[in-house]
This record gives sequence, structure tokens and C-alpha cells, in this order.
Amino acid sequence: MMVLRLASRNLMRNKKRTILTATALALGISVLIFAMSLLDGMDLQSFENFIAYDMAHVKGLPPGRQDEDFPGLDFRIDNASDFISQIENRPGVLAVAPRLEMNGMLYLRTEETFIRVMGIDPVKDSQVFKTLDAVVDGEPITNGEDAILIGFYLARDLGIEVGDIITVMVRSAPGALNPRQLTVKGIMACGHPDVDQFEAYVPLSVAYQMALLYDSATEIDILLEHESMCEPFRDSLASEFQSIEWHTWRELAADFLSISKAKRVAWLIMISIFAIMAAVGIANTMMMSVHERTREIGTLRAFGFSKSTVRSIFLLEGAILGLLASFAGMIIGSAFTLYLSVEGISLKAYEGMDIGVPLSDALYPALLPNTLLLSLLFGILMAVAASWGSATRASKGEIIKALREGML
Amino acid sequence: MDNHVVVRIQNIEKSYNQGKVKALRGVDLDVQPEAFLTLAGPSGSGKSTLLNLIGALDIPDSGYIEVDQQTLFSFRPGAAPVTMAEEDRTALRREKIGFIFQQFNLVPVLTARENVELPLEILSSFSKKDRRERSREMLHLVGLDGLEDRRPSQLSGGQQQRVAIARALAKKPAIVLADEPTANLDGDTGQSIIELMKKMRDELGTAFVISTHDPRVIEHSEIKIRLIDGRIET
Repeated sequence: MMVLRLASRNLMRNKKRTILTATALALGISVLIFAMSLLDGMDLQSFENFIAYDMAHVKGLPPGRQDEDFPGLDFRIDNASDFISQIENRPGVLAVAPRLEMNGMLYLRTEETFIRVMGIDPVKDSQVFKTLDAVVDGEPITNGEDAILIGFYLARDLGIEVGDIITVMVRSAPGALNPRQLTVKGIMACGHPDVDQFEAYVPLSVAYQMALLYDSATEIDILLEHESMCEPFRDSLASEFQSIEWHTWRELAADFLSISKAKRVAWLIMISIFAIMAAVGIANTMMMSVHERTREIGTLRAFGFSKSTVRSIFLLEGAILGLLASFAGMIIGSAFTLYLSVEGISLKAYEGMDIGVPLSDALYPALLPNTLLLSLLFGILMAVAASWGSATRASKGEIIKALREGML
Repeated sequence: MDNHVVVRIQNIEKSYNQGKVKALRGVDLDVQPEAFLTLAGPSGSGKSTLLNLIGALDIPDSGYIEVDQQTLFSFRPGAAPVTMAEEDRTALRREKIGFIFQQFNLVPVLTARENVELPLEILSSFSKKDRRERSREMLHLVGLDGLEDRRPSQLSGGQQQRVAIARALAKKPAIVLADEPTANLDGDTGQSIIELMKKMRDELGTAFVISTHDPRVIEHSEIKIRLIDGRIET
């Protein structure tokens, strides 16, 4: 109690200095919280987009397809409905949908561009993915109709509007080029730049006609009750259906995840520079504090205070400073982050650019409890570490010198 | 061994700067319980060095020191040298020795009562209630009733030294070592501090060893030791 009382009151001896030091640390902590929340938000949104618009939880691919840059229809799963019927009633499975992906060209008047044409079963697909919910103009496609759904940026770049009739040409499975006129039924903006920029969706029945196939799929997408089920589910499918390569979304997004991890490390290094600057401030404050209180330290030692008790007074002082500053930093950082987590940080300026994340509209920082707890601990530990040298010096000095000359 | 000796010093020598400066040259001294003893002498005569050695703040080059029947240091020809471990010296100071300083050395962020309680906080034998009662009792004895909650900056120099005396005596040590306790006080205040220390000695039976230049303190002392050039003047 006495150590705590001394430590806390000592902080108020030089209020201005304490406040300045605490402010530097508080700002460092608030920046740390914001940066971590930004990265967390980026990851969470990216993961959501990957699952909701691209990869589902587990994806079945024909062997070798993943290794190709522009895989053709040679890489496909035939009799896809057999596989789907064997999978969709398993425990933990929410929905299963086939997709048939073809590379093709889109023509409208004098415009033409490369696109990925995705044949989907609108009913099944909407149970796995949210793509059809992202229609912002027109309506989603339904089974059997000669209609196409176009990505927002693709439509904007080519001046495509709902109701336009466009020509899409794909290479069919036998190898012949197969053009088809389709009516643009809807335009979708899902916030996943790849989907919004390069993809177009047609009913699976239309895709089969274009590909000259029936009951084939280039991927089987599975949505599970919970993300944590991905790996065991993938393993069970892999052992049972060996003619298909089964992947969790994390495996498919491995490149993104490793880049994300590297980005996080780079950010944390930058933030650490802030932290080191704040730590230097704390170390300086504690050094001054020890210097000013040398005679008092000598007195305590003369009274029989052990070295460790004297050291603990200064370490506790650093810890209290760290706690208060980190708490203030938590409030500032949380307030700023929460505001932006509601308002979002617009990514419009990066429209059409590859910014390395599957986001296109806005970025919403995610303030997680772990971030707050880690920041608080980080602030306290850093303050204690910065106080260590001064505290040790205070405890090890000669008592007589401290009492007589005020020197350690 | 005489049980009635609080401090026994025999043939103590202490030098600094690798032997170039000899601070004490064969000092012998016994301090009896309830002694009121002054160490006088010019600057550099060895008063403070002797006080530091008795206070277990320093160790001599040779000789023998015992405080409250605990051997602090023994280096005698033909016998194995004995030096009390640093932790044990810290414990000895904590339990047996009180200090009064020229500049009072009160902790400025603590009140008078908390300053008096400070040395008791590190003694396991004192509960919070005991500490509170003892500090109240000591502040009453030094005449500071009603000023318990004042911080040092709110007290006069004399009042601060009274707090320091209460603090030194709160744990009822075997001996109190006072280093120039009146040097920073005006004449009347200094006089009252001398009288207070003597009164405390009378009431609590604690031995006082006081290093001083102040003739009034020397005049009040019952045992006057004068050090000249590291030796006790006979």
C-alpha cells in the first residue's frame, strides 16, 4: 500500500511533466489502437467478401484447375449434381452450389472487353453466396432466362445499362467459339473489386448451352454452419471424393493472408517507432524523477527499505503512468475508431486500382476487445520497461552519497 | 559481552581514496542505553564517517563494530573477518536504528502522519491500526497534535524536524543517529529540538548519538566526544 501511495503521489510532483509524458504515450496508444483496428477491419471485411462472393467456406475444384492462369473447360467436374446431392444433407452444411466458369469476351456496340462468365444456379447460388443480393440496378437473374448480370464497374466502363442486349462469346468445351446474345437484367455492386470489375453471371442452364455441357461445374461451393468447421469438413471430403481437390477458403486466399500478415508486421514496426519515442519520454521522466529524489531514495534505504522495494516504487510509478496514459489512449483511439467504424473510410479514390484487398467501397475499422486489452498491456509494459533503468539505478546507488551529495 | 552496550566500537579504521584519506584512525567507543552522546569536531574530523559506520551504512577497513549485540564488522588479527551481509545490515537499520538528518529528509508527498508511519510500513510487526496509533502517539509526544495531515511544505523547519524525530523514534529503535539536527534551524527552534530529543530519550529510553557543531547541543549532551583528525580527543 505504501509503495503504491508513494508511487502514485510522486507522479503528481511535477504535474506538467507527467501530463506531457502521458500525452505522448496516450497518443501512441491511440494510434496503435486505430492502426490495429484498421487492419482488423480490413481483414474482416476482406474475409467476408472472400466467403460471400468468391470462395464460400470450402470449394471443390477439378484437379489442376487451380494451377492454371486461365483454365478452360477441360478442367471440370462432370456429374456435379451427384456430388452435390451427396454433400448437401451432411451435418453442418448450410448450402452447396455448382458454378461453371468460362473466360469470354463481351461486346456492346463498338466496345469489347475480357470477362469471366459465371454460370450459376440462382436458387442454390443465393444460398451460398450473396452475389444476387448485391444487385443495385435491375433484378437478379432467374433459372432458364437468357439474361446476364453485370458487375458495376464493368457496366460503368462499357456504358452498359439494364435492358441492353450484349453479346458474350465463350469457348465451348469442344473448343469452338460460341457467341450468345443476352439481355442485361441487373447490375451488381458487391464491394469485391474482382467481381464488380470482371465478372458476369448467367443462369447455369444458359451457361451449359454456351459451353455445350450438361451437369458440369468448374467448382462446387459449400457454405458451412461455422467457419471453424472448414478444415475437418475439407478433410472428410478429400478422403471421400478423391477425384476433386477440396480447399478451404483460407487455403485459396493464402497469398492474401500472407500479404496481410506481412502488412500487419510492417504497420506494427511503424507503430513501434511511435512507441519507442513515447518510451524515451517515459525513460527521461523517470530519470529526472530519480535524479530529483536522490536524497529521498537515500533516506528510504537508510530506514531499511530494501533495494527491491525502492526499485518497485519507481517501476510502479512507471506502471501507473503507463496505465493512465494507455487508458486515455484507449478512450481517444476507441472514440476515433468507433466513429470511423460507423462512417467508414471511403475507398472511392482508389476505384479501379488494385489496392491489395478485396474491398472497393469503404473500409470500416473493427475495434476488437483484444486490441484494447493488448494496447493497454503494451502501454503498461512499455512504461515499466522504460522505467527499469532508472528504477535499478535508484535501488543500487550508494546510500551515503545519496544522503550527503544527492547523487547516486 | 556486556549486554548493556548498544554500540561497541573497537579500534575502527576507515580510509577513502584507496587509503590516501584516513577518516578514522583506531577509534574505540561504547554507547550505553539511554546515552545522550554528541560527536563534535571540525569538518573532516570523522564525525559523519563514524555515524555512518554505526548506522550500518558503511563498513570500516578494520576493527570491530557491534550494534544491539549484532556484530556488524569484525576484523581482528588472528580471527576470521566477519562482515554482516548487506541484506542483514538493511534489516538491522530497519529494526534497530533511527535516523535524523540535517535537512529533515521528509518525503514531501506524504503527510506528517504518513512520514512517521513510513518506517513502520516495512516492519511486519505493525498492523495498519498499530501504525496509526503509534504515529498519533509519536506526533503527540513531539507536540504536533492537529498537524498530522499537513504535508512537509505546510510545516515550519522546526515542525519538520519534529516530524523527523517522531519518525526516527516511531519503531522504538535501540539507537537514534542524528546528523547535525539543528544546523538548519534558527536558535530558538534549535534549542527546542535539543530539548525535545532529550525529552524523548527520557521517555523512551533510546540512546542518541548526535553529530554536531552546535555548542548548545554539545552543552546539553551527557557524553561529549570530540574527534580530531580521525581520533577521539582525550
